[in-house]
Amino acid sequence: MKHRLFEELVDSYLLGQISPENKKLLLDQMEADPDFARHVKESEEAFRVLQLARQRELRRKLKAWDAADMRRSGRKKKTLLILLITILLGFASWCWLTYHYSPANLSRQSFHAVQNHFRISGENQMEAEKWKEGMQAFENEEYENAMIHFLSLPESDDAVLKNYRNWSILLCQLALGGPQSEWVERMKEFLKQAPEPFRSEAERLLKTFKSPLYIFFFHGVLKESVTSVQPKII
Amino acid sequence: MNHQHGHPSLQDELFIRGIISGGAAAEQAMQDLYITYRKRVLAYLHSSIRRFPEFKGHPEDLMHDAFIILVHRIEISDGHFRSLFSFWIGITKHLLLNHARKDERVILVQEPEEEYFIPEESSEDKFLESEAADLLQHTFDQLGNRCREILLLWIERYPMHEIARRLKLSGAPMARKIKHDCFKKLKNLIQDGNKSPGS
Repeated sequence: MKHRLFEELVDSYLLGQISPENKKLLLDQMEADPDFARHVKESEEAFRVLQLARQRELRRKLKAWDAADMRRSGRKKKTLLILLITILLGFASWCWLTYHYSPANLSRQSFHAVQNHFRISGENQMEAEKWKEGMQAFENEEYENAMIHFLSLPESDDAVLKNYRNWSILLCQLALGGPQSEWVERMKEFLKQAPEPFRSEAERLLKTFKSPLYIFFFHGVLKESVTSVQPKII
Repeated sequence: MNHQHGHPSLQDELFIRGIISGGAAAEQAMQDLYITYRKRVLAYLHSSIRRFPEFKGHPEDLMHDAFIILVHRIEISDGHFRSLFSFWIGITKHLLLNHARKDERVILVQEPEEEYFIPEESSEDKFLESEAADLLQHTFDQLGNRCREILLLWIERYPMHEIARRLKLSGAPMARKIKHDCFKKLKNLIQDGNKSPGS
């Protein structure tokens, strides 16, 4: 019993957990019993070896914590990079959708698609000049100006010229006001008697405006955000 | 500035309490303490090393040595520290000066700036540098796995019932008995080594 008590005293002494009273008891016993003093000394020596082993173990743990910390910060950087790329991609997609589905861009595309099929010269010099000015204004994205030029052209007996004039006016209206219901009605009216290539282009345009992508992104989301952001950007 | 005998921050106080309590709480506290200040200490060390081109060691190793001393100091202290970060920095600085001095064999005059740590010839400093350390380490490695494990848990101040649980022993008395036998075995190995130093 006494032996076990002293063993526990030695243990708590080595671990630095001994109380002052017990320490005194231990020192007294060491003074009284040289064998016990030798035992404590040997225990101290063995404890130093243990301390060294513990230091080695702790050093190994520190290296593992370093590696874990590096991995953690590496993952953090990777996540941030992915997030940044996602945001940039999202922003680029938003910009592209805004541009691609804007009424002005769609009307420009349709204008160019039909323009490639004809060479408009007009019935006289003045008309030819007005056609030229109207087209130039349209190219310069001055849609209001272009519409004035096209509207000032007289109703021609030539079916091609007549359809081209009406087509151009419809595209100017689209670029200026977007695909509003009145515009859609007028386009449908035009479609009833329009020959090729106006027919296929007009059908393509109306199909685009009815497509779920356009309705969801442009009409639903982008139009509102564009109209709210555009004035600030300007 | 003295790092001791002040009021630590709440965070430092939690680290100190955890380390002093020993066992699993100490291990968690050590890890938290290390992760909390590691980057700042390393940054300090990198900036300091530029002023000591004669230093040939690795900053990480120096930081680890300083942390081991810090933990030991906390364990044997009464728990009163003003700032553990400053204390760690102080120990690191002290070790860096010693290493630089040893690497180049020049007398370096310590700069009269803020003093975090009063250098003293501590036993653990000497012990870390001891050339006999390898030999003693070899003695420890001669013990079996189970003995090494139980003795390391004991020195980490895990309670006996926790040691028994970890090592799947029947209970605390069994753990105490195995620890006693292993410690005795270690003492015998050391005595044998002392008797035949050439072996």
